[in-house]
Amino acid sequence: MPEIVIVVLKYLFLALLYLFVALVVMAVLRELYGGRAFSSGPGVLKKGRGPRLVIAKEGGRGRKVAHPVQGGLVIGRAPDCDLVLEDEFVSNYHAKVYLLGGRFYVEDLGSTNGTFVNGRRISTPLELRGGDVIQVGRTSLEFQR
Amino acid sequence: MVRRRLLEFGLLIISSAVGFIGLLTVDAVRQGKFALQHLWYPGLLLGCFLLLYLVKLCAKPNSDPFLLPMVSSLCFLGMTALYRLDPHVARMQLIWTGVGAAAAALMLVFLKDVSSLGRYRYTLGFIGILLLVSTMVLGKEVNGAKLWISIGPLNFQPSELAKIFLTIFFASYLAERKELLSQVGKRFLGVRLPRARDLGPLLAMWALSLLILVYQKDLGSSLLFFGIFVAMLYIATGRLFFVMAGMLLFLIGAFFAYQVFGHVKSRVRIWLDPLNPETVSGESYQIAQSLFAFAEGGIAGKGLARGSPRLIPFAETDFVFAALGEELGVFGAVFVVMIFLLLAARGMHISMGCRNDVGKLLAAGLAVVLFLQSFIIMGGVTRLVPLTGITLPFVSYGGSSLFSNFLLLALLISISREVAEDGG
Repeated sequence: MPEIVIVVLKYLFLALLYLFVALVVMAVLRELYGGRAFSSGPGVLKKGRGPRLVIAKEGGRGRKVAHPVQGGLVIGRAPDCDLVLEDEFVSNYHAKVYLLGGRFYVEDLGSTNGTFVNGRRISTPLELRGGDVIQVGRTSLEFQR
Repeated sequence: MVRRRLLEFGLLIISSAVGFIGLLTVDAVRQGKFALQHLWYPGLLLGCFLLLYLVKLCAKPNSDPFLLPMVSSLCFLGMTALYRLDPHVARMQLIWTGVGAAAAALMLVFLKDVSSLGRYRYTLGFIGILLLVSTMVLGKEVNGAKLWISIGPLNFQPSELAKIFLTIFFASYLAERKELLSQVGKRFLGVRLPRARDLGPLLAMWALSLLILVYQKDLGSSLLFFGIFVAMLYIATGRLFFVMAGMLLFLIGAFFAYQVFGHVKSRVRIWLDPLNPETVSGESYQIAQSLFAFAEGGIAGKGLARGSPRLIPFAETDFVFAALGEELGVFGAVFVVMIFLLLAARGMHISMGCRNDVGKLLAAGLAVVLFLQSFIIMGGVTRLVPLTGITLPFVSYGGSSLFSNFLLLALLISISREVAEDGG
């Protein structure tokens, strides 16, 4: 067996290992940041499209307003929140929704009455999926994407 | 979904090419010709993984597409290394891979809901502890550590299975208790302390790991079990205090063990000074040979079947990483590190996406198991940490280790399916 064949095999073996890692890493990255996440970025947001929070009920009163989420927002009663709610059961800075690695998460900001997703109180950031209902105070927000 | 399954299939095939090329290389170097008749080794291994792939396709169609190919790449690499060392060991490894894959397949088919395991938490925890204690009582001492139990001709290592059972127990226990445990007690020096009674579980686990250290003389398992528990406690409560307290307790325990027990002291001594002329052909022989192997390997390695890994004791099991380092060099070693990092990251990703607390904690815990175990042994043979005998998951030869790690894989895949399905 000529030496050159052995040398070629040796580097072919190593190259295969790294080809495999490169393919895995690329596929993982595509899954994390590709596809939906790119098309729903702030730049290409169209009216009524892309991830949004639909206020189904605010302060007990029925109301249906869609609010784009874009890169994330803070929900609360304070006027500098991104999504200001008129609901006395909502804390000043109640919860925030944010984008991380192509996924949306909701996190409670130490609110008095807690943040609920689909009826369950959350204590740690929770990933949001289309159709989830976030409840803060007496307000229900439906996450759509 | 079809794309993900095709991706998984493609990655699986590429990972198997590693095994085929590796075997051809070994035979080409040894016999001077391509021995095609030996290709049934990687062929059978590929068969195992394809069957597991098909079962996964039917039973958990939406599950994670990366775990199985990554594990198969480790198995093919391990099989190449074992075939090169001793074809008989490679054949045994094939049998155990078949057994492990079958167990994983059964679990994928019959385990519908991972959080239902929580109902048996005390049973599982009890069996886990029993497995650990059994080695202390019945175990036979091999190479200075009581790890093995012999039943007739079968030797098995209960701590490998115990780590899965205890991780399930920790996950369901902590899922139930996390609110209680994260309640805040008094403040001291700016750090919020938990209430004193909430330290109980941490102290109990500490005692157990010290017991393993003392009676079993097994530093690796001791560190592994305590590390898993502390990491999961942190993930469940988000309180950094537990990590700091855990590290402090571990340091205290390690210090006393060092003072009191000769075998701990000698482990540390050979870690700090492996090339001491007095011990280099005695108790530090293993680690010294491992270091020489890595030094011989250099960047690209000596090439398969061109090194002399037979000089390293236990090259098939604990020191398989050194055998790989000699013949595949830094490139090969870094590949193994990267795959374990990717596996752990994938486990954490699955954990983050999981909706129920038990599954979330279990996925994180299993990721920690893979990460810690591979760190302990890879760090050990490269002299980053004191050496302790433990297997490199999916690469080392070992029936109990392969079996348990395939169960771990099946659990992670099952949790990832729940992630995909309850969201839509």
